[in-house]
Order: sequence, then C-alpha cells, then structure tokens
Amino acid sequence: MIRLDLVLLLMALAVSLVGFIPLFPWLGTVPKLFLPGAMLVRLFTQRHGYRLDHRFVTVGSVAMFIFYLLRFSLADIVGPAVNLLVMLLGVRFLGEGSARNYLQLFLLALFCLAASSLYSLDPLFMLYLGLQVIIFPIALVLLTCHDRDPSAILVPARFRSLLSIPLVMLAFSVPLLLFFFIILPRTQVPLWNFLAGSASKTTGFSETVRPGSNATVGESKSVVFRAECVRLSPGELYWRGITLNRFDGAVWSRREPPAGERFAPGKGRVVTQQFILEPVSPRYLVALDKPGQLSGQRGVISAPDFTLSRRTPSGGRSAYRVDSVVTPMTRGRLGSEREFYLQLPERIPPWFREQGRVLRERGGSDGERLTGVETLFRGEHLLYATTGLPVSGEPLVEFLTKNKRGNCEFFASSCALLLRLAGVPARLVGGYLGGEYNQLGGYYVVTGEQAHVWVEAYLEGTGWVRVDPTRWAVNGGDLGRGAGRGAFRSFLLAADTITYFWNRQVITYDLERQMELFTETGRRLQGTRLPAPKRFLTFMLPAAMLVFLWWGVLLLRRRPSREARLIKAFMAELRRLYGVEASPDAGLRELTAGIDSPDPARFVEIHNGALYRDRPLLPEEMRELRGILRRMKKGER
Amino acid sequence: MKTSRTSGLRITKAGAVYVGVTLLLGFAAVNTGNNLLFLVVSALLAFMALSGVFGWRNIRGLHAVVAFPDELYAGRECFVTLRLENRKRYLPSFLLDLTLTSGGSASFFMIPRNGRETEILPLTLPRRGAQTLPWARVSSPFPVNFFVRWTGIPVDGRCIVFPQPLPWDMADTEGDRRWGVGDNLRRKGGDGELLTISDYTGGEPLKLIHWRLSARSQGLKVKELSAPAEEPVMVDPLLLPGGLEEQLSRAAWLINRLMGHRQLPVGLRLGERVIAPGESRRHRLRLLTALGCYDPA
Repeated sequence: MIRLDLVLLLMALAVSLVGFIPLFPWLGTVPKLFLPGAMLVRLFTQRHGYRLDHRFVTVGSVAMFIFYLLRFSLADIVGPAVNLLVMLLGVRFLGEGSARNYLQLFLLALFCLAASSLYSLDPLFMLYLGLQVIIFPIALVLLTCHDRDPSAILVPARFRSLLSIPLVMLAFSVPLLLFFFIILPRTQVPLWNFLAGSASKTTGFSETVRPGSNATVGESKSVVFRAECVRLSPGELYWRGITLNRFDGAVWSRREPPAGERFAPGKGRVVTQQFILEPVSPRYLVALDKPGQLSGQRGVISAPDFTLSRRTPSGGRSAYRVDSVVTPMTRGRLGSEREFYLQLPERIPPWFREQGRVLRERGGSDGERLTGVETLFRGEHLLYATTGLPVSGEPLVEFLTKNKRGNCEFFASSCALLLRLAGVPARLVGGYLGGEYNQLGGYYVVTGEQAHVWVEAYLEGTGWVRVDPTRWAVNGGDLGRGAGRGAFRSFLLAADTITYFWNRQVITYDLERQMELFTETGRRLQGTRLPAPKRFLTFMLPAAMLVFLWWGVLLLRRRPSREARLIKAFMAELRRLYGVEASPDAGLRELTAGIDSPDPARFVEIHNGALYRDRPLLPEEMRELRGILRRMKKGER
Repeated sequence: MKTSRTSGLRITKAGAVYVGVTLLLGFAAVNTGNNLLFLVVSALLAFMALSGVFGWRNIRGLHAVVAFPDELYAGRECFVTLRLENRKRYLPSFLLDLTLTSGGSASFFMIPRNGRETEILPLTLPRRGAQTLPWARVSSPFPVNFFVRWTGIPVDGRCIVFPQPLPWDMADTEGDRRWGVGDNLRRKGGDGELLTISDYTGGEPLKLIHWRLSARSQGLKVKELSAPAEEPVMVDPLLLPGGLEEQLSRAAWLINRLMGHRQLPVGLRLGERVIAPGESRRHRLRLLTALGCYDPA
C-alpha cells in the first residue's frame, strides 16, 4: 500500500533540492543551512507525528520577509530576493501538509530554479529543468488526489495507473516545450536588464594596452568565444577585436579613425564564421582578421580600420555571423590621414628617440624600415614571457635593453612606437591568437589566455600589413600553437561541444534568429512542391494500398457476425422501448418475459429456434427478424 | 425534456496562482531576454496546455447507466445503482464527480480504461409515469487542481415511476368489493414469518431492509415476510375520493396494502382497461405500472 502524503513529501523534497542546488553557490550562509535543516525537521516531524504550531510558521515567514525587504537596494535586488525565496521554501517545510502549502512549496522551488538562471547560464540548468519537468507534473497530480483525500492510501496497481497520466503528459511536454520556446515573443533589447547583470561579468580583452602595469599577466582559461568555421592553419588564426591608434607614452587607446580612410581586405579566401561570444567586451566584437559582412546582430558599426563595434553596449552573450577575408594585408592608400598614425607621445624615452633617428636616417622604403625594426628586435634576443615583466618608469626601454622579457603588449607597443619614430604609420590591434579546433562540433574554442596584441604597419604602395613582433622573440615560434593533444584534452573538447550547442541553440536564441526561423519556415512552406506524379505513383500507391488492405483486414476481423449484430440492435431497442437492460445472468427469454408486446417474443422465438438447433438463421428467418427490428425502431411496442 | 450537454470549466484559486506565476515569469523572460527563463515559462505553458488536454480527455468517453429498483414511487426516496463506464481505450479516468439532473450525486476515484465502477446513491423522482434520465453532469479537477472541467454525459436510465402511495381510511368503503372492502382489510397482516431474503426493490419499508446482509453484498437486501391468502378484490381508482392524482395514489397504496400485507388477489379497472386479479409480485408491479402510466387523454 502506498501513502499519498508520504509520496508527496518525497516529491516536495526532490523538487526543492532541484531548485536549491543550482542556487546554492550564491546564497548566504543562513539560507544555505536553513533549508536543509527545515527539510530534516519536516522528515522528523512526519515520522513521529509531531505538528508545528502554524502561528510560529506564519510569524517566521513575516519576520524573514521584513528582514530581507530591508536589505533590498537598487544595486542588489537579486541577492536578497533569492535568499528570501530559499528561506520561504524552508518555512513551507515547517508548515502543515495541506494542499495549499504544498502548492506554495512547488512554486517556490520553481522560482528558485528560475532565479538561478540570473546567476549562471550553464548547460547544467537543462538537467535541473528536466528534473523539475519530470517531478512537477507527478507531484501536482498527486497533490490533486491528496487534496481530495489527504489520508488516501493506494494499492500499487492504482498508483501505477495514476502515475501513467503524468508520465504520458511528460512525453508530450518536451516537444511542446520546444515549440513554446521557439515562438514566445522576444524583444530586440531587454527592457529592464538589471536582473541579467549578475550573469554577465565580462572577461576578455581590455580596450587599452598598458605595458608595464603588472609584473605578471593573469591568464584566464575560461572560454571567451567559440567560432564555427572551417579549420585554418595556425598562422591564419588572428581574431581581430579592437584597433588602438593613440599612444600617450604609457597607454595605447582608441580614437575614432580619420574620416577619409578607406581600405579593403587584401587577397585571401573568404571564411564564414558563426560566433558565440561570451560577455567579452560590452562594445567590440571579434572576427577573423579582416572582417567583412556581419549578420545576426543589429546596431553594429564596421569602422574603416576593421573594428566591429556595437552602437549600444551589451553585457550579454551574443551570436553573430561574419564573412572574413583571411589575409594579413589591406588594399588602399593613406592620404592626409597618414599623420594620424604617426602621432607620438610628448614624453619619449631617449633610447627610443635615438633608435628612431637611426632608422629614419638609414632611409629606404617603409618595408626596409620595418625590416630594420625586426633586425633590432631579433638582435636583442628577447624572450616571450608572462611573468617577471618590467614594471619600472620606462618599462619599454627596460624590456628592450635590460630585462628582455615581455608579453605581446611589450613587443607590440615597442614595435609600433619604433615604427612611428622611423616614420612608418603604425597601430596596435587587440584580439586573440590561435584557438583549439573541436572536430566534433566543427568550431574553434578560444580562451582568455589567448588574448594577443599585434601591430599593423602601413607600407606605402602595399597598404596595412600585419606585423606580429612577438614572433621575433627567441621562443616566438610556438606562439598560437595551442595546447597539446591527449585523451583528457579530447574528453574536455567533447564536453565543450555540449556547452557550445547549448549556447548556440538556447542561450543566444533571440529576436533575430526567431525572425530568420519564421521567414525560412514561411519560404519553405511556400516552396513546397508535391512529388512528381510518377514518383508519387511508384512509391505512394503501393504503400497506400498496403495500409488500406491492412485496415480492411482489421475491420473484417473486428466485425461481429450477422447474428451478433442483430442481437445488438435488438437489445438496443429493448433498452430504448422498455428499459430492459442486458444482463449476463439472463437469457433473451427472461429479459422479454415481462414485455406486453408480441414482437420481442417472436424475435426471441425465431432466434432461439436457430440457436438451440445449432444452425445459422435461415434467410426467411433473417428477413422476419429484420422486419421486427424495423417495426421496433419505428417505435411500435 | 432537457437534452443540453454543454461543457465548461472553472478556474480554481490554485489555477489562478499558476496562471499568475506563468505570466510573471513570462514578463520577466521577455524583458530580460534570458532564454533560461523562457525555458521555464515554456515548460509551465506546456504543462498548462497538456493538463487542459488530459483534463478534457479525463471526462470524455464516459457513459452512465442507472439501474432503478423495480418499485419506484413518486416523491419517495429510493436507492439506485449508478454504474459509470469508461469507454476510452487507453486512458483511465480519475476523480470524477457525477451529478444526475434529477438530483443525487456520486464520486469515483478511478475508473480503469474500458472499465466500470458502481456506486449506490439515493434518488427521489417527483412525478409518476415513464421517465428517462437524459444526461448527467460529470466534473473533475484532474489531472491538476487548476481547472475544474465538466460536461454532460449520456445516461441509460429509463424507469416507470409509480404514483406516490397515499394512505387513507377505508372505513367508509366497507362492503364495496370493487375497490376491495371487507372486515379482512382492517386486520393486520404482512408481518408474519420470514420467508426469504430478496433484493431491495424500492417499495419496501426501511424496517424490512436487512442491513447486515446488505453490508456483505453488492446491493440492498430485504426480508420477505409471509401473510395469509384472501379473496380476490377489484380496484377501480376512479371511484376513490379526490382528484385523479390523489385517486391513483390511494389506489397504489391500496394495491400494496392488499397484495403486500394481506396477499389478496387484486385486479384493476382503469377506465376501459381491466386487469384480472392476480397475486404474484409481477402482477402487483403490472398493476402499479398501469397506474403510473395512466393517461386519461
């Protein structure tokens, strides 16, 4: 025997844990302890038949509500709200076992799960949601029965029958859930986004480059973006983010490029990339160097220096598609804008001034001056490193002359400054280098540690040319090669595929993709053509005939005999006219004995005559029986 | 006869809360653009839609059959057997409340697919004559108590209601054998020795119900007591005092009195129709049926 109240309590515990666990890392200590404690107390009281005073529970709820209400502020709305949710959930466990209390408990658990989405957009959410989707209908169906009879006890067979309904509902709910998810209306931009703030901490490239600010550069292994595209050679994997064109002696930053600048990508193959960008930068988007056509994001400006930026900064995860021409070159000419890229800071270290003068006086083309800078770098035997970096007042000088250790920021900043001093227009490009290709998903994974800065130099007659001075380091050959292979690494990449598709299909589904989907569906529906007649006849006709034959056989097998059909019609008339009900215990003669009409008696006489002689009805008997039935149907008693 | 079988639904307080929560989360999802909230809202909507469909299926494919006792008197409460059949091939039905249009209701926790359940319920029919229970209202909060759906379902329930027996003093009718008068009528009878136990037919006084045996078996059981046989009597209701309905009621009481208590052979003259005296139970029911269905037009 199965006690409904006990099953319901177990369901309540399960549904609450599924709401509580994903929220756990973001809760205060008190709610973290209170809810499990309340669950244990409830189990104890249930087992020993104790009941807590409901006034205590009500007063407790009100006190908690006031406590957390006082902690609400515009700066932190979500924090107190989720703590309050969990506390109220705990209080429900201390309350009575009424249907109302259980319903509140289930809804609070659902709210907890929903609230966890404000903190984490992890694919694990789908697991928790799946569990709640399974438990929720079962619990609510049991709750409805519990509401009818709180002390109900069911035999296992009945319980199984009862469970069959929510389980069937569950089977239908998955496609329906997906359907609603696709069609529910989206807005172009969130109307009030303060709730989403907690989940959108940005990690990625900075919008300025300041070499020498730290002796050690932190390398985040967290994924910055995933880009679905064909596999490329490591040397082509320059993901362009921001172009920095102004140097004040310490910091490279970005100013709007001159209005007249016009450049096109050089020759190269076009590679289409589908990006899922983590909240990297609120303004700038990344793409393979040199980005062209962009789709999937509204309000994106493409600057003449190939920087893609959003008109309105956004902190969320985003998805977009870019067609890039993979090339280190651009085509075009700098006119009066040339001066813009030769600007120098007011304070230039004498060592740089001297090297610049030497390069300038050596003369030659822009290309030759660039070679001069490369020779200088290679001659210094510099080492690429992320620790032990120079932090003095003149970090670039220290890097090139004493310390000889630096990360890409040192290499790029020094190189660009030297080029400008030598009279070659130069700028910095911030982005990422390399990436790990996931064969399973067909995409690159790029992490924070792959952030990179390189230089673009303008060579008269050629255009802007990518120069990566970090490769001039003695250990620069390995740059951008990525992590080694291994079983564990392969497993991690396979696991990452789930995250990628989760982000691609769920997290970044927005108005843009919704519109694309609707348009595509409409187009396909309009373009649907029936198969050619010949093909249709070849394949469909035999199939249809088989189905028809099968259906016919089923019908014939199910069809009752002539006599059975007559008896059925006769019984229906007896019921209609005389209120006589068929009974397994009574024969036709007993059923019609009390009827004051000759027709039913005659019918029974003919029928039984054939039945007791063990022969089928004769044609004339059949005719007479049908005549009797016709008269009865006309209402003749 | 009312044959309306409309359906409807009523939202419960819990249902209103659920709808409110769904709207609130939907509003939050649309405004934050958080797709995980969209997933939660989609799950809530899917569940609401499915509970609607399954709730609707839960009260479909049902058929009620009411089995009346043999003797059913106008205005007098009797017990009828209500059998509810679930004719669905795949789904059981749960938490059903069935209310007959003529009053009386019963609850069923579960009816398996292609199965049936039986309940006994009290019923009072106010008028005599052949009657049909046209439909019954079946309602259920299943699968979740957010909406209570109801619909009319067909009922197999045809019966003939006898006139309400009206006791009367037969002293002034003494000597007239047409409606059954004589000294023997005023003697008590019908409460002799126990002859047999039979099914409750609706006409027996409550004191004759054998409660102990009824509790052990499916239906109600009554004690049948012996009484001495007497001379035949002809009853002509139209000669009894009062209006037509009153005359029929007095005649019904008289027939039961004469045949049930005294076991006299009784016949009936009803306008042109004459039924010869008899003393079986079937004969008594035939006389009462004639009274119940009597239409002077």
